Amino acid sequence: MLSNEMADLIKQRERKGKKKKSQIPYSIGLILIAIILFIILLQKQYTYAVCWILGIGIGIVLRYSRFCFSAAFRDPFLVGNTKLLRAMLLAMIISTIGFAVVQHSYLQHNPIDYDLIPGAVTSVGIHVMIGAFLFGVGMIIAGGCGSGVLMRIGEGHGLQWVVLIGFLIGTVLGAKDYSFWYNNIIEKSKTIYFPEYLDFRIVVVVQIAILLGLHRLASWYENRR
Amino acid sequence: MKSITKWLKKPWPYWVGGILLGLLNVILLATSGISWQITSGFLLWGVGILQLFGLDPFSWEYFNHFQHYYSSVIVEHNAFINKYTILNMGVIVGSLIATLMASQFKWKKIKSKKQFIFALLGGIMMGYGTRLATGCNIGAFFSGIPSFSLHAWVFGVFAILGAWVGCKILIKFLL
Amino acid sequence: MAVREIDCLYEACPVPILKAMKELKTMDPGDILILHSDHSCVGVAFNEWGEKNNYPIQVVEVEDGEWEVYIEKPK
Repeated sequence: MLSNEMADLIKQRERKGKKKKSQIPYSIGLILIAIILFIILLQKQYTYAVCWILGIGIGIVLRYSRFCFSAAFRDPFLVGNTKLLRAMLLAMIISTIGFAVVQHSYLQHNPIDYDLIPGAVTSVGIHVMIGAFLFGVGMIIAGGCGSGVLMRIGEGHGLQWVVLIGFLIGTVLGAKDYSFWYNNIIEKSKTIYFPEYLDFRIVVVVQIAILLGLHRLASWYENRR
Repeated sequence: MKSITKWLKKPWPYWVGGILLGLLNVILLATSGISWQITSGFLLWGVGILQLFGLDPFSWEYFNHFQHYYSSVIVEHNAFINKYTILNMGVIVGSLIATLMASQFKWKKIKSKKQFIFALLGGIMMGYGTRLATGCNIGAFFSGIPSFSLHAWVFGVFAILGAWVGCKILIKFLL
Repeated sequence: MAVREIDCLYEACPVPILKAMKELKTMDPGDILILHSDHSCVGVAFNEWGEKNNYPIQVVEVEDGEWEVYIEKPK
């Protein structure tokens, strides 16, 4: 596929190339430290240890698969690529099944209390729309969302430290102003938790069907462009 | 040895990442009781920094509304070390480990003032947005959809709308 | 054949790909564009984009965490 000119250029460049250093020894050292910390935490507080090791797992996966949630939202209309979006839908299909098992076993012994159900169940209303919209604009101009910021800090990007500082300022301001939003909007908004209205099995099946449908739609959109 | 180095450099396909992230989120929920989230940890970092300056953000009304969420943190008086922040630090360390395994770590500077301003502004917008929507892409959407809560679907639709507007701004000012 | 270079060091996604698209529009078929970047997603993103739009592309890792993307405008 490559033309001769391009192959020549690359060869020239490779001859000029500097000697690269292997950073693998550092990674092994860091893994050992991480494991030691895990063992120490395990003896003190189980939840901390679990969060630590699974956080590391998430970080490794994010970086190795170049998983970027802001790209999943952005690439479909910026470059017409839906591969990431489809991978994200796949991830959500898998966690739908897993979350269903966890929540179902919880609800067998406990009443429905939105705050205590394992997972993220909260109220829906105009505040979510405003918040999500602000978030969407922010993640594009900052060049990364929550997970992206953490992953890129690990990679050594200086710019993402700035985004993190902005993030801290924003969350603190948002928390401070929360009473205003609560009194005006959030107090009146309802929490809609699907299993409350329909049988749990139906909810799971319908949701998986919808996610699969979106997956299909994304493929169709990509091929059409 | 050379083939291992090469293999360590190779990116994984997106779908592999998707499957693993989906599974990790479930394992996290089953073992620790919290789904994957990021901004609760950010908020606590911010609170911790304000505490260093002698303020008491835990007295804000916000923390009354989310008592079930943060009570364990408030009781233990430690905004910096708790499950939410440890999760975030794990992600940073994990990404660092992966970068080093691929021998691709490099300190990257900030290029221009414009980049700095957009990054800061974008960060503040995201941060403020997460308090209204109770979470970011991860906490409200990626963990919210499998939690069967309607707010996650609304979040998804409006985050896409926001991203669309963000792209317009980006093309106009950053290119 | 002309060779053009653009410097996208320290730029975050999606700036490199947008800059490349803009630059390629002004180039003649057969010209080569070299893009310098240190963003780890660039390799995957460009390979996919090239495959879809039939641009011959080669990503070379020139240093630790630094890449050069070679793009040829199709004839």
